[in-house]
Amino acid sequence: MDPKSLNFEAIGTHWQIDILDYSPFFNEANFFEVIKNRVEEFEQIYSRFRENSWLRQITGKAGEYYLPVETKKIFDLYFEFYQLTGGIFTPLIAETLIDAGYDEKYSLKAKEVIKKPKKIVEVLDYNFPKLVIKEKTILDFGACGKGYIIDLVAQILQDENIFSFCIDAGGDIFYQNRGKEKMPIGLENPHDFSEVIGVAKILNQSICSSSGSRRKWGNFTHLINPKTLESPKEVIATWVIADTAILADALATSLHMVDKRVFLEKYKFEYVIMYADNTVDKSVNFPGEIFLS
Amino acid sequence: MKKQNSYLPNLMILSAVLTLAFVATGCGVTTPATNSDNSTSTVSTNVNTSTKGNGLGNGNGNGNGNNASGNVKNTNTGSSNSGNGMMGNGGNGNGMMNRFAYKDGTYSANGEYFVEGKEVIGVSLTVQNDIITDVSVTPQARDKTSKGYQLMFVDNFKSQVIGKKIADLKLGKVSGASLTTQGFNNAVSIIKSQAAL
Repeated sequence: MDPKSLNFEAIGTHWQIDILDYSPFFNEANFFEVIKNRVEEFEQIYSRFRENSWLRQITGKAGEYYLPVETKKIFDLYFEFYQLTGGIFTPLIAETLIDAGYDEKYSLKAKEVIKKPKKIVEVLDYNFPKLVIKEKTILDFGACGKGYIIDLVAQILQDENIFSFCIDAGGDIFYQNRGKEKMPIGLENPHDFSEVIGVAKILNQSICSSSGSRRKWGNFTHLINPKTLESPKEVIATWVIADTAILADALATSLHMVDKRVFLEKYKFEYVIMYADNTVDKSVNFPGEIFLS
Repeated sequence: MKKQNSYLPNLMILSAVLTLAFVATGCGVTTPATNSDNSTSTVSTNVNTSTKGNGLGNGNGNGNGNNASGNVKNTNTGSSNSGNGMMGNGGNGNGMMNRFAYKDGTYSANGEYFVEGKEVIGVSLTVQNDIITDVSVTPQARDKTSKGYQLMFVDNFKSQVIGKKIADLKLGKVSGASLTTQGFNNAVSIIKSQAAL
């Protein structure tokens, strides 16, 4: 059975979804349309890069809202990580990123004064399903939004009784295979995109990566530490394997700025952290190989 | 991988590993390096002592007087000169001229230390042409805190990574940042063309 592949562009990246087994009744065209629409809808809900996105609209002024069910996971995760990281992981980083030039027009020109994000309690009061917006703000879900939409797409596939598939959204991946066959995934060398620095083997898991190597301007990357207002320099790339893409994505982002021990007791994950001096740190049970000199 | 070899005095194995660990720890970027935790300081103490002894197997009393005794048990069978304080010549007791001090192979040992009871850490290393080419440490602590420290210790092994060409490997996918925000990439090319960046 040849895999069926869907390729498209969305949320600013290239998607490839490979379906490895399917029933004779599988309606490819119809189904791929459903997936593309779902991703498009996601962007329309969450993107801070769209002026008319649902979140931009509701956070544009103070107000009280009841959130749709699907927002629970991502809001829960943001508030949990906010607590765990002492405010380093925060959706309020949006305005800081915008000040630094990472705005909806990608002006990439930093303002003279870059604001620190406010404390979350000053701006939001979240108790699902209720969200109180205390003052006008912008929220950024970049730290794990891509992971979350990958999970949502995986759910659509599972609901359609497709159990062997691979979702690749610009190098963040979720792979499931009923046949228990692991997939070897190269860990891209941030210094040379024709190379990998190791291989991870995953099955029924997600691997997400985070690196500033391709999104750099001036002194900044798309990651800015809200405490120091600088982009992390010590860590140059991270990879995290977890059961869900939202968790893998959130951890991959966090490990640039927060010590792994903050998360080790709380979550099940494996990691590789690559530092600016080209050394790496990997978890004890990392399923794969790192090429060492 | 689990080829056992009995030539090396076992303390030397652990010494070498711990020395390596110590060096690695010293240059780590996010090294925890707290002296308040027992197991970490224990490790450092052993390293210092055995480094002075040139790693030549005279490690009988390593770490004595600390809360860890640095006892090492051999997991190899039939070992000849394990930890007996001999200047072991790398175990080449057969009078043959040998270019290398250590025989190639993978060596394993368990290190024991005491923190309100015995704790064990497993160490395995591979030697090739007198160079340690691979090290692995297996935390075996029973106490939860000790296990945490052993994991941290393991975490601090670090080496430089090297890249291999994607074309030379069989990969299903590549995980990284190369396929990233197109809007961003477009903006960068525009700005570059305007020479403003």
